[in-house]
Amino acid sequence: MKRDPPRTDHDPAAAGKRSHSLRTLLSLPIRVPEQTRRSFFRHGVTAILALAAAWQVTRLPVPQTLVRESEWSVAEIAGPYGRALQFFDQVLPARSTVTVFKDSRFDRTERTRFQAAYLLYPRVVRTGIEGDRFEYFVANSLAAVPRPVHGAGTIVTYHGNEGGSDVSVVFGTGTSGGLTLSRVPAIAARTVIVNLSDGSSIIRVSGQIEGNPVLLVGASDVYEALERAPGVLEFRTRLPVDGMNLSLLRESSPNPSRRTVRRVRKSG
Amino acid sequence: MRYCLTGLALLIVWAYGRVLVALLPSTVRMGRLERAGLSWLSGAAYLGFWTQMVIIVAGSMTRWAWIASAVPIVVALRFVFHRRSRDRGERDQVSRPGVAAILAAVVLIVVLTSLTITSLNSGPGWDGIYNWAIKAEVLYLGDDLVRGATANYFQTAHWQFSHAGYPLTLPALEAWLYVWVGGVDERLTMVVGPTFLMAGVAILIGFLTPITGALRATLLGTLLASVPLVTDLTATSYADIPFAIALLAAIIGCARWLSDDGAAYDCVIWLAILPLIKLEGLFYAAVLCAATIILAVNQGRVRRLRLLSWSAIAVAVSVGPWRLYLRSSAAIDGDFVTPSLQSLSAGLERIPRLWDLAYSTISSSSVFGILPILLPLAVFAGWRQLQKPVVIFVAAVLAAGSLFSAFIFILSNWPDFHRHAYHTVDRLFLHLVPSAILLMGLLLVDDLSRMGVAEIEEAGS
Repeated sequence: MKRDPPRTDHDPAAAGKRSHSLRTLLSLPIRVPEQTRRSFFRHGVTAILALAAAWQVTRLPVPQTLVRESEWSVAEIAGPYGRALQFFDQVLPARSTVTVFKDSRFDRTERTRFQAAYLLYPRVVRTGIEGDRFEYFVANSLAAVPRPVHGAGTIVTYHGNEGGSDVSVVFGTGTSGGLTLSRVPAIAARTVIVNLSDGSSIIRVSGQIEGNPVLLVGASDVYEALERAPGVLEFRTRLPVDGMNLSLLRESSPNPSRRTVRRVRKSG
Repeated sequence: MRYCLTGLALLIVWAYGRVLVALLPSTVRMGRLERAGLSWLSGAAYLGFWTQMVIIVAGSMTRWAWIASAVPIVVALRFVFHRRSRDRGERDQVSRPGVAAILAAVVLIVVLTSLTITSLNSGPGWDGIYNWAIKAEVLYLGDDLVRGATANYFQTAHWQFSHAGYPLTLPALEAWLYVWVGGVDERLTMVVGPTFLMAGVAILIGFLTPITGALRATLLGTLLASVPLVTDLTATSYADIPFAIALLAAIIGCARWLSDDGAAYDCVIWLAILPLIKLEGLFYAAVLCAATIILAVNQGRVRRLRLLSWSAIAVAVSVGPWRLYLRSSAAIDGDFVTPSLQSLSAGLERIPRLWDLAYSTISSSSVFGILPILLPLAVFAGWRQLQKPVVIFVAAVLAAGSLFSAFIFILSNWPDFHRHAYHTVDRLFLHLVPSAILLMGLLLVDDLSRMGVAEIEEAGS
């Protein structure tokens, strides 16, 4: 019986073939048990998930406990809005109504301030909500603005009762406030800026919107915008907010200088 | 004291939901964590449904109406006790978590606590105030405090800017808190967002734990809780987080429907809850129904199609009367035009800009964290799972939702549609985040049989 010669690994011809075959290289005798492969996959996936979760967790915002430490903190954040609402809270009688003009181009800072003010003096803002009317009247004053919400030049009105509001307020007297004013020439023509001791400002508009006195609230960078409007009067004062009273607001004359308000410049 | 009362009010909502969830057929197969999350969602939706029905019938919410919300729950308790005595001992047994899972859970708890503190120190946000908090105050005021406030809000055109036609679940929850603390306090409502997020995390972990193990499920829950946009919107009083959680629950419910006839009626309930939270729920309810039916037909389970009619009835009951009530008033939303051939063809030219915006949004790590990297990796690593019907189902819903989120602005009624999309598109994609993480969990596992889908796999393959 003829027997096959024993197989050896020293066959030069076969070895030559293998050395030139990628397929052979890939079939090297490294055997990974299925269990090990699965285990490696499972633990690898878990490790990646853990790393991903850790990466995201480390980027979480730090809790802002400062805001709640005291009302003073909230007031600081509220800035001019807070002071304006504080003024309303202290000066206006119960059930008073406030009309708020706000160009909707709220950046994050403005939004935060407004929210803080809202939290600090909810009664004032809520007078609008508890009343029967709470509406935009953009169509009357800013006809050029096509939509009341999310568009530039939004006017928000808070009414506390059927009689309309007692005070009209423009929030945001920077570029947005200036923009609002520039679109309401009747207001821009008779505007008074009252600067506060802390550097912020309250801008009084001696004109009326729908028969209501107007108060603008915002930062001092509105001057440039206002100066472009004809007939703007600018006043600076160190009068604190709570020193003002409603009668001052109700003045129809553009000359508030009889109290502590000092007229600085007149233009237009 | 106010915080104690707020906690009590939230606990009662959860208890309402716990009773309702106990009535569902597939509850017996859920873990405690998942049931706890679903209980919160159910309780909140029940309160919203109750509120809108009371307004339709009685004209406004009153003190008695808030108290009477407990009556149906008390009636339902009788059936719960009956079922508990019958179904005792049928729950799935889940193995004890290991040390690593416990450590991950501790990290997750710290994250959720941190988010709660952050939220309580934040404001309600612009839409939170002008879309949702206003409704909450209107509901709270009812006619007890200001005569005619409810009718004035819902039936005049003055309030259109605040989208008076939006669903009432979130405002009803906030008003519920006001009722308990005896006054309006928007700070307290900031607890609602984190509560929904906790419920969502509980649902996700509870569902995935039997499939992926406790460690991986907890890590996925941590991923959900730490997505930047999720943390951002949790600290507002927006309805997007609640809706995202409701969508997750509905997708899980439909997945169970595919695998278990007994879960069919659960699915109907979860579908009905979707439009109670946001109007987009109507779209997603339709998509979920369609995807489930296609898979059921593919498996030759045509008899399940009758549940389509049940779903349609449930959705119609949940929002139909309210939409009819609103249609008779002036509270009509005007952000989008009515879909028509003309409006769609006119909006086609917007697609390239919308695509660019959608791509830049979903690929942004500052918006969605590491998900834009992790999800494609999960698809790559678990591509074999994509042959399984349940995974196909979740992926299909996500794909449909992504297309909807990116291109719904074709119908935008704003003069500048891009501005509309810019302010909204990230929140629309957020609705899909919990479901995307669910998909990751399903992709990265070898054995789906623990969720009861083995039967489908056999039929589908």
